[in-house]
Amino acid sequence: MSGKEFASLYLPLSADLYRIAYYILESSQDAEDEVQNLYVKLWKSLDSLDSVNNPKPYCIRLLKNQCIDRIRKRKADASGLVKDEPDACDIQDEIESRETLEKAMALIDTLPETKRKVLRMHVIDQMSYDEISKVTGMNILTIRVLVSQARARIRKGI
Amino acid sequence: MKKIITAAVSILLTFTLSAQEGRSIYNRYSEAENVSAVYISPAMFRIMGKLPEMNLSGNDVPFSSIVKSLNGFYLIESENSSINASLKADAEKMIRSGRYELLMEARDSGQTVHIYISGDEQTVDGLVMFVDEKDSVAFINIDGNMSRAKLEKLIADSASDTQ
Amino acid sequence: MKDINEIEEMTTEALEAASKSDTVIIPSGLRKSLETALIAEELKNVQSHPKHKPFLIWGPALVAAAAGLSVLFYVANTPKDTFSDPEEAYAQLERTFRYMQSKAEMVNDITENAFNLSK
Repeated sequence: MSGKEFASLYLPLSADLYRIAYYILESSQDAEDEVQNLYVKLWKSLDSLDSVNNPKPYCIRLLKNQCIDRIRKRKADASGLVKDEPDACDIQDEIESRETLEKAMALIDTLPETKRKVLRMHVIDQMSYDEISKVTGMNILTIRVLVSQARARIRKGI
Repeated sequence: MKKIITAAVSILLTFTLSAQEGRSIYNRYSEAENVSAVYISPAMFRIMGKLPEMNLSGNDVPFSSIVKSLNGFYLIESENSSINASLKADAEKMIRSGRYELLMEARDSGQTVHIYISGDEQTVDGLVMFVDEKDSVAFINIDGNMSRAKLEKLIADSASDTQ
Repeated sequence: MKDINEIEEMTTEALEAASKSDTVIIPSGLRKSLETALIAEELKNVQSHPKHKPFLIWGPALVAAAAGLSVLFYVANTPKDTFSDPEEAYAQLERTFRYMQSKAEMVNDITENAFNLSK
């Protein structure tokens, strides 16, 4: 599945999925975190989404399981008991991956709106530099450099 | 034998020192906050030289011929007011090292622009551009073996042709 | 927070109905933060660049030793290429020359204005 298809099929579901996460977790921050985790997970497995006939029920099932895992983990942390202890390396990898993502997000948030818009078009809509140039009126070379510099800045920052 | 050794060491050290100028400025400032930095290595220029003729913007400005004669490229754009002054001082120190002559200079609307080149009548082996605007500075250093005539034509060609 | 058993028993249809609730306020920046997360996920996954490895050229002669030291010093201080793609590097160069042209145009304008004023 292309980024453009993902943006048109899955991103519009975000509000409904947030409501579901909020219904389950009863916390706006937790709901937002889990919806974000879900979308990152979906994005990482774009290729497999072509076989999904109905995106919304699919996302609801994934989100429900994520929320259950979140509650289980929180209960386990609170009680100090760990029933089914995953591999320590997996936890560490997950924590590092999450931290890396959050650092990268923080760096992107510091960018001006025009640059964020370009990155969105390039990464999510997967528009060519030429197409982005036509839409934004920006010079193609400027767009190329902007994307390279964002990548370099994130690489440096994490 | 002693003279040969001394001369060889001097040449090598001079090469190292002159190649150091732009690089040391780049190394000093490239990691600072609110600084955009670009470095293009001699190796990358060699790869670029082997690519088919590229004309990304459909313009007929002869970039390719200049690009093939370049060795190194350093760019620092800073919006960090706490380092702008020292970056400017370091650039001026580099210029005063004696290799560079002023090619053009302008002051307008709170902005000053200086372009310096080094080399001889036929060839330019170094270019430094420094732009000092109200809240930002830009430092560009290019090393190579450029045709002076082509470079001056490229820079002096009207900007209106490129828009 | 709901009980895990209660959540496990929730059907997809029930959750779909919950998604239509008017009472839940959607955070205004939700869509934007999701897009940021996707962009960040995409851009952070870059290949690592091989580190520069210094090399030494030793030899019995003073020239070889000086050459080795100079090269070692040079390589150890050499930064990494900003671009791994030569086309992007070329684009940066072209952009820089255009920038230089625009500044040179400023010089031309000032000179022409001064000439016109002096007439």
